[in-house]
Amino acid sequence: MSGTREKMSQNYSPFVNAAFDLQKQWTDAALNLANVVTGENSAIGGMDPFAVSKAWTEGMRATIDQSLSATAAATKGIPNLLDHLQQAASAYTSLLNLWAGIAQQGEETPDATDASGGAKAIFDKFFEQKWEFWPGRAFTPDLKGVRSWQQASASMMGNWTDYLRELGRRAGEEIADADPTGKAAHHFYQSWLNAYNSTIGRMINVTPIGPQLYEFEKYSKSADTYLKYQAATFDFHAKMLSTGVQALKEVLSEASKLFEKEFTEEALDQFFHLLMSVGERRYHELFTSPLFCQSLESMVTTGLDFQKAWNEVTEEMLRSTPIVTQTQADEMHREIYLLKKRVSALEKRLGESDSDQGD
Amino acid sequence: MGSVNGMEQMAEVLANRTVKFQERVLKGIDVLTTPLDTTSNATPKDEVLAVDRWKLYRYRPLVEKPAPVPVLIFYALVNRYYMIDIQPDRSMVKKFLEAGLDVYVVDWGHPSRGDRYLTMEDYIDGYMNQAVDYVRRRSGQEAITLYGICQGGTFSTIYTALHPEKVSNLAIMVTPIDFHTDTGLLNVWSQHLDPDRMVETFGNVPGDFMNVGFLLLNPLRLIYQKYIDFVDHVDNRDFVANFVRMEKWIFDSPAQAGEAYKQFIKSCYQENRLIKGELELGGRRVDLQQITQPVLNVFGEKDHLVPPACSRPFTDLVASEDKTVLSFPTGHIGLFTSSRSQKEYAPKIAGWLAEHCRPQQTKAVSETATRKPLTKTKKAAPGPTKKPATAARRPATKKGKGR
Repeated sequence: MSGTREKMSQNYSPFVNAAFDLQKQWTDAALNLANVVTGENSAIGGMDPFAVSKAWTEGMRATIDQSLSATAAATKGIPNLLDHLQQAASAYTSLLNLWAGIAQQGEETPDATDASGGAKAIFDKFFEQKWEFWPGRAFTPDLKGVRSWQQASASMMGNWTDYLRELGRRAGEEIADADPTGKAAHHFYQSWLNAYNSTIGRMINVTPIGPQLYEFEKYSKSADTYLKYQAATFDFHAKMLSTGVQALKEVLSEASKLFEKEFTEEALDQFFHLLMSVGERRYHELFTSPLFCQSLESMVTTGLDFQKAWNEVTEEMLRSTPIVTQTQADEMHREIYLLKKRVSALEKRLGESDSDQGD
Repeated sequence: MGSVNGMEQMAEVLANRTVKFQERVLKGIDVLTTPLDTTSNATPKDEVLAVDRWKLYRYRPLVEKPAPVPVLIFYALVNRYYMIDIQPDRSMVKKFLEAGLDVYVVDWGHPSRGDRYLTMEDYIDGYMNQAVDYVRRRSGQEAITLYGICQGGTFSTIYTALHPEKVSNLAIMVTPIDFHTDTGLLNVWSQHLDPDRMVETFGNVPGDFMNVGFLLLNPLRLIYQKYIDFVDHVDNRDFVANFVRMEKWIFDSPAQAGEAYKQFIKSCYQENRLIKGELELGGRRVDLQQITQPVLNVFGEKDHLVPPACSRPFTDLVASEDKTVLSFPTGHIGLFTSSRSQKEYAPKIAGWLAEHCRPQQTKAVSETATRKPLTKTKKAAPGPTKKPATAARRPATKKGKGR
């Protein structure tokens, strides 16, 4: 990788170099995340939601820094473009920041289904704010007092992380005594989903207006379905991890008997067999539990919704190109299918008619 | 275990294991970096019909005069048909041929995106009917033996109920008939699937998507232990070749034609319409009481994909008088690949088929023929030899190529 990079550095623009840095930051963030996930923690079968969100935020911060330097390198020489971009972005992220701050103030887990509860309070507060900026002004170069993109984004992420942390703390209390049915993890998932639906989900699903409203609708649907899919996947994996941890605990308590006298190769083999049989039993119990089936259904459903929304986005992108979209291809396939059936039926009738004449 | 001695023992055991592991890996590198014979599907056969994506093959008989009633094998739409001929020394079809049977098989192939609109009716009343008619016409028999495997067994059962006059014997193997059992995870999970949403999203349901579900049935065995075992035997050329062969088969997973998949999951897995007598195909009700032919029901007692509880009710639901049940102490795949499958299971199944595919009056003569091997491989006949008494339709569509 480093050799390639050196070679690329010599031949390509600073933007490419910045892109490499960006990639490295992502990798570091992912590794950091992996380290945290594998750390020992009773919450969610080895996964610490606080640490995960923190690691993610750090990665995001670094990514934003790198994105800015990449953008700066790419737009060098174009007068005021970067300033304009920064200002527009800062106006937007300030809005999000404000939202995240308000969301954090909610004392109870916001419940999307409870219009008179926390969610409503949050949104009332949100719209009561005195706006320090007007979106149209974001594009004027003399906008002062708006924080930079980095600061606003980092702050927004920080608030969101704090909010998640609080959510995680509450869920973690229950998850500490994780049971193999994954009830606690499921509670965490529901809390997260409720929080999302009450806050950022509403932002994402805001009724679009304007000339790009159909496009915007597709993009926002894609983002919404993606976040819900991620949440459902988290719930699913939390159940799997939780069961794995429980199985391991059981195996370790049994294993002490195996190695009581001597540590032999036979005992090692027995340990492995024990691990497999206990794991198999525990997972079978999990897989037949209604809560797991519900989680599986949720993961598959949200995954399909995301895939479908993403397909629509892709088709939207292809619309202005001379490439046939999947929907158009499907329409043609359907026509061909119906024609083939018709031809087949006509052939059959023709055959019967020939046969009657022969008689 | 004393602490100092214990630690020494542990270090010694682990060191021994590490050394052995390294030795195996070194030998394994030799095995993996030289050509391996992973041939499947090697029993000689000829393509005799091709329609759309599917093909009909006839295996070259091993005897001069094979049994007059041919056996037509329908495999599931999931995975590929060559499980019946997975390797030269573990081939169920070879056992059938050795028993003097005349064997045909349908290869469903890989559906294209354009096949997403194919329904169960298209498969059963269309494609299966075309294959059956072709084999009837070619063999000169009014009715033939169907051998349905897994989902192919369900389809064969439905076909027989709808076209009983064309089927002389029905044998099904590891076939789900009663879908409402809590002993199989697939049966439990399928209640939580939304096939409409799946098909709307994917068009055809991808094979990889299905595979994830199959692996999840027993993740520790299928994702971990299997590969640990592989490393343990990586220095054994035969083991590695067999392993790779199976891997190739497992992940050679065709997508499922959207509409047919949707119909199958909803009407069978979710609503269990087949055994309730509520399944309809092309406006006709599928009545299992229409099945009066001799039937054979084969299943594995340790099958986790199609548990015995799914297969067993078949024989009680049909009106046949000649009913045989063969259950073996193995799993879904073990019926084809285990060493006992060659020595015990396949010969028993072949025995039943041979007995039922060779009418009594010709049996004495034919048995001599079965023992007389051909001196050279006989090519498939160029076309039908005799027209069956009932009016069989032309076997191929305008795209088909009857041979």
